[in-house]
Amino acid sequence: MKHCLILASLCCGPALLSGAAELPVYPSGGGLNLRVPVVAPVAGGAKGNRLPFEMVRFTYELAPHLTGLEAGSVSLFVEDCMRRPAKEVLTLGGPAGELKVVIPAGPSQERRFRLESGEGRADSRGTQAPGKWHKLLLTWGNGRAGLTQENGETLEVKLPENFTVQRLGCSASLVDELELKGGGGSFSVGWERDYSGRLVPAGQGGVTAAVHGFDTYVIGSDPEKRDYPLVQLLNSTQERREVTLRYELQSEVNRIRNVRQEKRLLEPGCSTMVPVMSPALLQSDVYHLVISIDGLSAPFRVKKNFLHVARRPEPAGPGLFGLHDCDVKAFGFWPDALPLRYAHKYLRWGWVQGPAFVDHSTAPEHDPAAPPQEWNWNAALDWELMAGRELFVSLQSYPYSAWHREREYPRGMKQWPSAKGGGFPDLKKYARFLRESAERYRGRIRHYEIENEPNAYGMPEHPEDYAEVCRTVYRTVKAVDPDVRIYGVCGTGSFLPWMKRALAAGATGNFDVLSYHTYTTPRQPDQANLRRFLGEVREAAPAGIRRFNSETGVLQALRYEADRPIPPETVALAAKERRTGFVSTASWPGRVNDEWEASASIVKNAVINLASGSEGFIFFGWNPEWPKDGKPWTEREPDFSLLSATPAGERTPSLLSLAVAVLAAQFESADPGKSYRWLDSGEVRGALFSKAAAGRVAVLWAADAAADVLVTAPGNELETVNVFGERRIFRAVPGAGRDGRGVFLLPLTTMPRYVHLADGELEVLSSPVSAVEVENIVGGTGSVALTLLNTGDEVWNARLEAGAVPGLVVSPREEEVAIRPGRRRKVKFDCRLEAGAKGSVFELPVTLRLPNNVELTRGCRIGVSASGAAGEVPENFVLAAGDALDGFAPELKLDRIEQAVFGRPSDTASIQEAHFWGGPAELSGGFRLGWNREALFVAGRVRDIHPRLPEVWPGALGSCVELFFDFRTPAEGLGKAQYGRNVLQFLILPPVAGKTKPQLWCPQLPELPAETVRLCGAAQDRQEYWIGLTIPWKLVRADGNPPERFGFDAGINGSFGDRDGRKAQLMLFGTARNFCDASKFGMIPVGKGRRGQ
Amino acid sequence: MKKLFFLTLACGGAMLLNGAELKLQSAADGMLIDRNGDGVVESVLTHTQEKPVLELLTGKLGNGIHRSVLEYKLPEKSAVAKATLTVTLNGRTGCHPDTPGIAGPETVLWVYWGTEADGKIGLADDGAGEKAGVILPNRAADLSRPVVVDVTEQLKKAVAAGAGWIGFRLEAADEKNAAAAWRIRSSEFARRYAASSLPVLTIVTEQGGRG
Repeated sequence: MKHCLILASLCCGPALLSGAAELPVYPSGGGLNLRVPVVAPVAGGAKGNRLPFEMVRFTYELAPHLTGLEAGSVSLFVEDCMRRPAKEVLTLGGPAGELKVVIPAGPSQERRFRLESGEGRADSRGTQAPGKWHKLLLTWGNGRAGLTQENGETLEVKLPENFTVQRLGCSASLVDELELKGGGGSFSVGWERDYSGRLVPAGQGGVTAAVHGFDTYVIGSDPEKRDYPLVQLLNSTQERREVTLRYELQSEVNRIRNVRQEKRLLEPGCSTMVPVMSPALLQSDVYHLVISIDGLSAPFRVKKNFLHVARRPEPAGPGLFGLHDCDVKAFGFWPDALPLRYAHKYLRWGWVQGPAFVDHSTAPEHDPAAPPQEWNWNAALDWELMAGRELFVSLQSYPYSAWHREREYPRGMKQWPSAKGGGFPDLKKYARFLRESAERYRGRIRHYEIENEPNAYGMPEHPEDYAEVCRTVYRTVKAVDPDVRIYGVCGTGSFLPWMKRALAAGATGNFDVLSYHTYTTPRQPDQANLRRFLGEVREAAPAGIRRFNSETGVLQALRYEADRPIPPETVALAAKERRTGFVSTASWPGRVNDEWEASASIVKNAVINLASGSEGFIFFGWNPEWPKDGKPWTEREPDFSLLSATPAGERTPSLLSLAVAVLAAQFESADPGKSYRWLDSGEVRGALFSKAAAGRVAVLWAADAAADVLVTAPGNELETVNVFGERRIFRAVPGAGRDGRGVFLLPLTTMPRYVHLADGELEVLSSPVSAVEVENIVGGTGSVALTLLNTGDEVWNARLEAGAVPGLVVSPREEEVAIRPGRRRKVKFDCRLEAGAKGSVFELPVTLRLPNNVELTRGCRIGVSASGAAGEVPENFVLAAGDALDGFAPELKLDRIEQAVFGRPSDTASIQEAHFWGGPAELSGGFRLGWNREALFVAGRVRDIHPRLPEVWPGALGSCVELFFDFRTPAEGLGKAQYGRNVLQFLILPPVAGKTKPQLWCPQLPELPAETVRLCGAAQDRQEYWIGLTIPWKLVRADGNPPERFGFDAGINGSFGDRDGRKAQLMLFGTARNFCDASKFGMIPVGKGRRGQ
Repeated sequence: MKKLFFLTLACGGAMLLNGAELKLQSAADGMLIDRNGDGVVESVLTHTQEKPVLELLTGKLGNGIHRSVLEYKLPEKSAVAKATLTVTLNGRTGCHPDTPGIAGPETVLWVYWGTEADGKIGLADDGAGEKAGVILPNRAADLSRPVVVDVTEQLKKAVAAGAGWIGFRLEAADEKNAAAAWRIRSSEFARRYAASSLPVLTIVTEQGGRG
């Protein structure tokens, strides 16, 4: 009923006053979703209310409703604020340029007004005091403009002869009672109720449309809220007009395709609000809507991409999730329709009390003696605070100029255009900033975090300094506001050793909550052992301390078209080909996730965090202005944006955005203060959480491949929701339950699924499949073996059936085994790759019937072992140069993070850390293989910017190359782990410029005569070298002939630049244990028809 | 004979002469243990340098119910005339010299081949196979002599099925009520202390058999 009334008022909203009509005009720029105030007006205006938020400039479009503004006036009141940066108070703009009233940057006692146009500028002689309303009158016309102050002083500037006004901009907090007059009409703003201005038309007028409610990319369903989607139609003409609105809607999850059209009759001088979305269409989904309107003064067609998420009708819990700062500069960016609790914001000392270049504003070099009220406080932080959000503030001491710093660090200092950044802060000066901050926000900010990722930025080599900062922050802030909660460590990546050192150095006791970030891209959090990692963090943390995840995101593939995600296969291929936009070199470690992987990843990450005791989880990457403008994403580094965009820059929510929204909604009622527990069990991963009022919410997913699992829960129905918000009810297996508890068969995949219980507990029954052993396909064959366990009291005649998988021949397709109670049996399916089959991983579904006739299906993932190619070379071939094989075989490249088997950061790392592999620019290489009837030839090139040979030779602890061969036949054990006869490791000392010739050592053939295997090579420059190796078949094959295939791997080792030791090792196919495990080598087929590629 | 014995041990099951006696040492031996007594084994114990397994237990000890498993690689071509499994017992306390007059539980031998028999000891070895019979009674045994069991019938079946491996599992007939455990000398025990106590599968092939 309430909705109906509101809608009725919106639809009938023309404000026809006596005489001329007043049309409400909402800001078209300066913020998002401004129809309803983000922050309400407050008392204290020049008359009535004012707007309290600083550094926001609203723009209003006046044309075509108000024309004839070649001359006119604006009267207004201005009250300057204390902050020092320059402010644009008022802007009148049109096609011939802009006319501005500005307050230049400066100390509060030196503030003046400036009038400026493209033709010149004039500054007031007298000063104006901040904190007091000053009346101004701005006039323009006939090529001149004048600004008259209340003291009578008038500033004048020239204007272009054809200057006219079509739009008005004003600094929201600085002006009040603004009235523009001209052309016979007027426009005024007074902030009494909202941000709208009142326009009295003049001239011919026109019919226009404005769309409201879509700006944050998340729409709501409450007409009273600013995120309710509406079209505002304005008719400022003297006639009745008919317009036709056409909506073309499509959605991604529910596959909605809806086209509708409606006609509206607009009275003269009328504003009408038209609801856009039918409530019946509103489900959890990503939508794409094209609105086109006929009958307006100008053609109108807009496309809006947005999402909606259904909330649960349950009492809310305390709130678990938040959005990270992400450098959001848009006023009103917050997606109100999502149940989010924490607004993460940075409070950087160097920005608030720092030099101008830091925030790119026009603020002058900051005077360290400036009074705190004139500092450049984070306005975006204040906006969120005023909007009623719970702030989580990251305090940062990073010195941005010399006066911030006590001492420089030997490494990691940054050179800015006019100053040096980094080093250890001057804690005395920093404490002043902390005191002022705590005073300013006393009682309003409850959560302060000490630094951002100090183990990676600022103090990676100085955990003891971090302990000092902790001491200062904790004592200073708590002294001002004892009720705040201080969060410490804020570790990222492999921060555990650093954290231990910081704690030992005295950080312990100087924070209340341990915070961290847990990026795992591109791996799924469970595959990256996030649970174990967080367990280790808990073990190393001060006993009983609370924990919190203050930032985590995921790299997703962006979109070619706004309306559809890029398919996983396409993303995988693009990542494999290392196409720009799909692989990151700046963020760690590498390839992006497709949208489904990314969605699963962020949900699992949050669930593992919450089940590990993290009390909150803040999403990184929600910024409506991300992905950033500039180059198309296909031409630049991927970032961690939670929203997507096309190469042309059209932004849209993605499935990942929806997954985050659904996660927040599904957990809205969860209460981390109540009991929770893991549900990990065999093939199942997940956890169960309590709700604030009653009931539970569980999240479950398959650990590896798709698996049906049996769970028990009270009742006969089980409500589930998938990561994209689709609801599904499962019915209990007939006859399987007891004691009021049903048994439910849940088909799980690696995509998480939410399960809601009104009461009682959820239990995952132990799987009858107790193990799956996979022998990956090597040489065309492999196998999958399932071990079944009979937990019943009777003999189980288990019948298994392997499903059809294109490209794979499975044998047998069916198998039946009798399993005694309490015993296990193993059933094996041999898998053969069909000729021409594509794909490197196959999922074989195996269905088994349980004793109660329930059928379970378990997906078993089997991969094809890596392989390369060798080219056939002429009989008289001689390998004497690094490029000798270039025309014969493709290069097997060593340049990917996945190949870093030593010196690779942990899977939870999000950034490159200096002691890990520094990317292909630091260490990379490539190998080619050739063969003829006499020998095998290997040519390799290596880029190593820190060439430093192993101190001990033979040894691998420095720059060197390792080649591995398995020349056994399948019957002799080709591909088996153990080193047998004819499995060889060659260690090659590289030819570093001017120092060494290449040398060879083979531990399996320590007395290898030098002439038997031919090694050559040379340095190309100080950072690159090549090697060549010729191995006669007669040395490694009993019959002296080329084999049909052989195992091969190549590794390159790189050193630290400044000390002995191995920094990184890249391996083509295998692992760092290749020297003792031959099962991970790649397979190289040799045969006819492989000449030159 | 002694020379042949060591030759065949060294070569495992890789070669076989028709009409010859072949003594095979196990490719793997170890124990399956049900620690919580729920009737389902949940752990596998095999010899490692860090944790040597010198005895294979059958029956119940303080730390759970134990089943012993031995697996052998079968010769590629063989026609079995006779086959026996030979194991050597340790005393109940595992000390030396063995104490006469001690007894473990009645112990049943299971023989398996097929998927579960793969040269490795795993949990799935627990449910496979057919019962070959009681090999140890619940009474005092003469510890000075090895236990020899005829497994000819099972070997023939395995060979007929084209099996590459064969496994033997020893478990107490009544595990829950077993008061003690038999202790069988493992391959590692034999390697360290007494080669003659190696658990051995002896195969005598038929004259003119297949191959």
